[in-house]
Amino acid sequence: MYFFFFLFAIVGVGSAIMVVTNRNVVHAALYLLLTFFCVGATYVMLRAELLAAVQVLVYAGAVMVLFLFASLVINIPRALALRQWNRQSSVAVVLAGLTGLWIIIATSSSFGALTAGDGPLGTPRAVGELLFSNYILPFEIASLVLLAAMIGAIYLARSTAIEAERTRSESETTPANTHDV
Amino acid sequence: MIPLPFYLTFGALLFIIGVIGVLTRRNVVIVLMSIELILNAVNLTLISFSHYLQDLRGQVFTLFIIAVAASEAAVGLALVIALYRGKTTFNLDEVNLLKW
Repeated sequence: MYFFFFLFAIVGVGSAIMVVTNRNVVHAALYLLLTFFCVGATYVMLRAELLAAVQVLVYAGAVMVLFLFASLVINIPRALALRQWNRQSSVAVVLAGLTGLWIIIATSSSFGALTAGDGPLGTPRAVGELLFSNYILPFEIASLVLLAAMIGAIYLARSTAIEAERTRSESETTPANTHDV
Repeated sequence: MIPLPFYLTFGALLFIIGVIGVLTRRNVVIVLMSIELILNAVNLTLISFSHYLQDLRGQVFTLFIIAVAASEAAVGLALVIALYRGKTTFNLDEVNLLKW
């Protein structure tokens, strides 16, 4: 048990560091995929089977496809030539490291006494019953959020293309009309 | 049985790495990936508390966070594409339209 936890934790943290320090966007996306799988494996160890499946489907499936698609759009040789870190980076690393150290010390001194319950807690049936009884209103709101995000993403990504298409078709049709007249 | 602080430390490390990525990188896509790392760390913390307290509400909350994270990734990457079409840049330091 300890062996698998440390395996997934070390691989997950190492590939997360590779995500942040990598120059190439596609390599960073693939390391991010490895981190998602390690976190999903940790969900299985925490007996959250449904969420492990959702993690693999949503993050490793959908979100990763979005990231790879976006990295196809940007110019990778130009991105590699760019200076990767901004001016505040050393201060940011020191402050974030101190904050992380503080979080780790505080949590390990406060929650060390909690012992785990046994038994499968996060089965799809149990989570689904709770989700569709007590949390039905947040569930509906989440579906509205997803719908709004879908419409917004389509609008943002396509609006410039549609405008370019419209101006091109107008400039093509206008001479034809004058010719007819 | 693995103690709870181990999972919390794993989550805290992922969170801090994500925060460092958001604060220091100049590439927009990598900043969005770091935001996904932060959300994953929070999900991991919620699920470990849910397991150790034997309370399913943490897992239900995690489902909502995953829904919000998916929509955030979709809208964020659409913004990246729109930004790249408009300004031909993916460098966050060059996006200073609101700066005066």
